Amino acid sequence: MALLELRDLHVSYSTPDAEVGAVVGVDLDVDTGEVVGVVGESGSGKTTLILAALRLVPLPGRIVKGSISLGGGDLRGLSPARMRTLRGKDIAYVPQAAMNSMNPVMTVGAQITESLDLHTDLNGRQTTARVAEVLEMVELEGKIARRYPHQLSGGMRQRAIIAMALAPNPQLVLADEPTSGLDVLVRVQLLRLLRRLVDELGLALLMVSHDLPLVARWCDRAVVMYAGRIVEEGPAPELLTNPLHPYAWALARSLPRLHGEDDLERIPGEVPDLSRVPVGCPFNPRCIHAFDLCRERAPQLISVGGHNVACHLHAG
Amino acid sequence: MTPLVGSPPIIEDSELAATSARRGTAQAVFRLIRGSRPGLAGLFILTLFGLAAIAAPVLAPYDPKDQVAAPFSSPGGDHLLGTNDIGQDILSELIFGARISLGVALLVATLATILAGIVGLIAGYFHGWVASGVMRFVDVVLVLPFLPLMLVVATVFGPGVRTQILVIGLLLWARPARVVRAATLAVRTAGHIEAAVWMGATAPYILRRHVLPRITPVIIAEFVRAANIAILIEAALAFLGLGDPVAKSWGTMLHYAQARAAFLTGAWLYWVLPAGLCITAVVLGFALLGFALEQGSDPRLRKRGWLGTA
Amino acid sequence: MVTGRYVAGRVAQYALVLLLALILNFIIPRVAPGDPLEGIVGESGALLPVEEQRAIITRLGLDQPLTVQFGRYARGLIQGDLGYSYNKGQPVREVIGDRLPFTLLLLGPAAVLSAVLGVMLGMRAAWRRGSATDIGLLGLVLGLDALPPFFLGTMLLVGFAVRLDLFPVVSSIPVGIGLLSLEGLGELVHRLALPFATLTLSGLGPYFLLTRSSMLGTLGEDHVLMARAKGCPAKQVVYRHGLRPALLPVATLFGLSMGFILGGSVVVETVFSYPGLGRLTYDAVLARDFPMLQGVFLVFTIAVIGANLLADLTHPLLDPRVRSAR
Repeated sequence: MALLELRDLHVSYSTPDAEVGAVVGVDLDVDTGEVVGVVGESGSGKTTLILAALRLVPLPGRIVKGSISLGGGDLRGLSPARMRTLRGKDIAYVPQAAMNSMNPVMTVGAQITESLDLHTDLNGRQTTARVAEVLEMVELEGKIARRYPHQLSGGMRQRAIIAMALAPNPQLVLADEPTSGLDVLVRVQLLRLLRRLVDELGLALLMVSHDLPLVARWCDRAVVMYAGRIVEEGPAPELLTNPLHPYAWALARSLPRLHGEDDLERIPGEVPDLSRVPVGCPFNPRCIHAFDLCRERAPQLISVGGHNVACHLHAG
Repeated sequence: MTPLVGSPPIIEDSELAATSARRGTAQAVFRLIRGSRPGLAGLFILTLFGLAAIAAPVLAPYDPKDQVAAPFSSPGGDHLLGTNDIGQDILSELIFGARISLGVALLVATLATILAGIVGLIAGYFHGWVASGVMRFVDVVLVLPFLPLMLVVATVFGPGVRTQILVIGLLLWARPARVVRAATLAVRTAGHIEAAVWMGATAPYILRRHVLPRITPVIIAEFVRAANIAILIEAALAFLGLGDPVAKSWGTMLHYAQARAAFLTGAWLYWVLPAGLCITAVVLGFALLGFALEQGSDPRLRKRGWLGTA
Repeated sequence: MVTGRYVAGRVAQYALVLLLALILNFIIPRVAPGDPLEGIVGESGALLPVEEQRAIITRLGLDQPLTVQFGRYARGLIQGDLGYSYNKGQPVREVIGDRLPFTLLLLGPAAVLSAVLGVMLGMRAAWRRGSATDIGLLGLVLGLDALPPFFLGTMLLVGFAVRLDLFPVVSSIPVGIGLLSLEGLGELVHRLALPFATLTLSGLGPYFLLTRSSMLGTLGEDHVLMARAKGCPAKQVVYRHGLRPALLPVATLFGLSMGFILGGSVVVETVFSYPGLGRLTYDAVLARDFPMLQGVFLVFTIAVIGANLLADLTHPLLDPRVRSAR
């Protein structure tokens, strides 16, 4: 049994006009020692997926059905108070680097200390020692603890957040575009750091990104989401080199090449409006291979050559 | 103090300004008011009082300047709210008072908004020492204690509607000027304005054609806010005896009621209360309108916070 | 130090404010319509015998050029000379000195309490956004905010002093009141209660509205989501991550609203016949005692500057970004 198991998860946002499904029937496992990357454009439901696993979907959204279990224990049935004690302690969250996710009026050290005070019974001196320890773990100097977030660079801030997330020794880390907005060099350093921490500490990491090549390079398994649904999953490097779903294929082609032409191949068409998902396969309006069946019936996720894929092209 | 209050402090509302600017014309503002219950309530109150002010000669049973009964008459058949210390009909005073109170507020707000618009547009559009000097001056004016200064000026120049309008208007422009400037700054960087500059359009043309229309919602909101403050300040000045003794506003009525110690007798019920409630209602009308405008145009306020999650 | 430079900048600005107040004080009576002597010494001055008027003109240098007059005026101010009230027959400084403690006694606590109450209620409302509490508080505050302070004061007076007879109608303070005894203090509180309540109630609106909207802003920010994801309990999220970063504009408001509170004290002291600067202002308006009005205006300006400076000094404490920025 995997550490994190999502089964048939449905998350919807109620608008005055309709219920909009942001996550639709997702099954997903993340195991200890494993890095799983969820890939999709913005609006594919990947951020909602992470918030749902934390049970922090903002109103007017809510988890409609399905189950979330951590280490065999059900999370959906927990009382809010019990759920709160799990957050940060067992499930850590690493937000987008581009966001202002640190309290601007507290020092880095105070914010890490806050996590420790919430979830451990270390005394004052042990807490200080642990703060220094986790800062070192993310390759930051100890004096950073006395700094305020605005005094740090984006990369340092993201390291500090990772330190804060890891301080209470969580089992599972949920990272939402942890490197977006950082420059390439810093991004690689951060991903290397994350990978190393997962391996050394035996963490499970679920990472969301819009960048398939990045996921292929750093994750063990990749999951491609479109319009709130999983359309393909498989071993990460494989998914880049041999994508089966036309959408995954397009994502794989859209990488900015370092040499040669730098116009990335854009996926034609618009990201679907989640309140008006087309009948049949949600990707059909943008799919160059779409045929009649695609406009009539939604494909099921089936196993094809080591991948799971939801596409009528591969059904027969 | 509110009225002295009414408005939240001066923050650099550039975000608010920018969004309203993006949304465009004044029509958006009215759509916004229509879509908000507080906004509609405010509009309703103000319309009611506005109509009463316009129709005063028809509505009022007597000429408020005439002595029509014995002084200090209690309310009765002929005089629904009784008479004041010199035998004038209080109800008629009240209805005609709407003209003075609302008139002063609207004129003051107009004066202040025009001044603020000019200063804010110029300081926001042009760079350099003139603009920063102007803003420095605005900051200085903002710190002056308004009411005491107005008391000095109004006392020296003598009571009267004209003095009031000038004094209040000349001191009220600073805050809106700041907001208009922030909005102008936000709009100025928009692509098509830069383009217009490149194509050699003159500054007055760009300001009139491109900037002004986009900051109109901000200006309307500031006008409402200025009217809100103006009516309270007018009431305070009048209450302190600087109102026009001939053209009595609600504040002036309250001044005479206070001077005759109406609060000690039963007279407060028909002499003090109605005038006070009229001021309160009109201020509330402006405040509700202003609240609706603020709520509608600040995206931060519409976004739900992270406290409510499921 | 960066903080030092920040404060220096503010001080320079307030020096300009003071200068502007002085210039206004100097110019206004001199451009006033009618007899310039009346503009400067007040109505009672103009009623003095001619020889005395002439003596005043010479003494104040009113026959000299404006620049000389201004120099003389500024020198006098520096020496603490605020002018002479011909109405009271006393130097303005003495009269203000007598009244100032009463105003401070009333105003200081009211300003602080209205800020504290406003912030607390505003925080509640933002926390329970859209709930009955929020909407009820919002309606209450908008209504309270719309009441002119003198009207609110009059109504409290009618209700609690005249009808219920719980408080004195006139809030004057007897000269011999023994502030050191429990009884004396009780008496003081009894007399101050109504004007104090009026000022506090009419001052809390802006704090409520600002705290509410400022906090609605911070509660939507990323670091609040982070705090929740860390497992912070709701209270901690609200106070530490929502309220604290939202307090910066509130501190600014404290400085700026001081001018409004002072304005309110004029009308409220008038309603309650409280012997402070506000009531003094009202009497000066009625007597057209210009030197007195100008003196009060100057003292009020200094008070507002003080409050603003206080707010500025708390900024770096509230927000580390102010400490290092600039």
